[in-house]
Amino acid sequence: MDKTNLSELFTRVQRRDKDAFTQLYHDLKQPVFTIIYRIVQNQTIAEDLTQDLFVKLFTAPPDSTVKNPRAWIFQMAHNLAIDSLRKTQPANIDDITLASEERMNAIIIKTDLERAIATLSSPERVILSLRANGGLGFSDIASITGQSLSSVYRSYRKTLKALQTLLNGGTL
Amino acid sequence: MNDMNSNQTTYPTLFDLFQVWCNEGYPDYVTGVWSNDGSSYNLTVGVTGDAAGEAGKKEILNLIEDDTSVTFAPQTYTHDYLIQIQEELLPYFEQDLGLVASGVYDRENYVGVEILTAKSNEEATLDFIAELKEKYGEAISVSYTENYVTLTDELQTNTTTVLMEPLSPSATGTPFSPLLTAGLILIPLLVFGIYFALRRRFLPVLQTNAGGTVAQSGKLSVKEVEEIVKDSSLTISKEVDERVMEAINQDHLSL
Repeated sequence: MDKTNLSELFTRVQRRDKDAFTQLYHDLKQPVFTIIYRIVQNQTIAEDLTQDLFVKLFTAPPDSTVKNPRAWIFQMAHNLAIDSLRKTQPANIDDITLASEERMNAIIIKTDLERAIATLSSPERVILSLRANGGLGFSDIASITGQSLSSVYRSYRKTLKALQTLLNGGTL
Repeated sequence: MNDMNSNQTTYPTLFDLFQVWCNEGYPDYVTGVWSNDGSSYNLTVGVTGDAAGEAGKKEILNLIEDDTSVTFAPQTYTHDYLIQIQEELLPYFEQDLGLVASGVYDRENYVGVEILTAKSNEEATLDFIAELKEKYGEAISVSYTENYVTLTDELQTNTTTVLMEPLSPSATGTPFSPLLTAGLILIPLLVFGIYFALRRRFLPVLQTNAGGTVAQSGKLSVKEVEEIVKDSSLTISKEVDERVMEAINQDHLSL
């Protein structure tokens, strides 16, 4: 879906157009769910939050003009997931990385890409999913995460390198 | 992005140009980019302190419309060179040298490497650090860290525990039995056997969320990893679709 089309759809959703909502939902549900899941790491919670986001979008859409609907929706997804994480794992949310032992156990036990991603820190997963799955530019990601552009760029490259190492059989 | 003339694509700010670099890579003369105040609009571009860097500064200023959005800093090593160093370091992570982390530091213009303090006095590690210094000079900065558990360390710790107890029979006064000797050999083999079995399973096949698999016929490049991640959107269950549409229908009816 191109940017213009999404903007038109979003504007129609703001006017409570059900057909527009249905199309927007089907176009964006997977990346939204992926972004949320990569933060909360729980299928049920991620599904519930995805549902909440889209229902709220239709029942209480933003009044004002939204310049970049894709970034706006992913910002909502990010915020909902972080809020949820704060409630369920208050001690971990500010950690930059998972504990090393936990990270290593995850590497040993898990076998596919998603599980390799699970070994990354929460901020790494956020940037990775916003960029790779959400298709956002680094500036939008910097804005959503509150980090500097350089930090976002560096983190993304570092995360890909880390995944490369993991998927090629190395350890972090 | 606007066309200032028929031949030259320009960008409103350095921030916009930076985004292009993020996708296409830095020019050869760029050493790094960083924010001066945490914002996206006050960036410094590190450029090589030579003629190429000077020419690069002019090129950048010609590419951006708002030249107040950029400052320059002369530096020594190009970003590509630092990335190359980091890639060359990757095999060393596999070796028992205590190397646990590395990263490119734009502002400082070096590759920072972290070495486990516990390994810092071992001969192999000292040789490795000396080799780094000799090969890369000031492009490498070594620091030491106390706490980092690697898989290898963990396994070695476990194995050492198994080995050390029976290898000190005089301490307990227990004689060395053939059964104990067999255990000494078999238990470490078993530990490493499990490790390699798990590791082999982890390596060869990457399952995508669409249900397909990606056979790994050699080392994956960063680009390939990025593509795999992009193709890995997760599938939300149909029940969620139904719940969302039901909520929307109810709300719509109440309008």
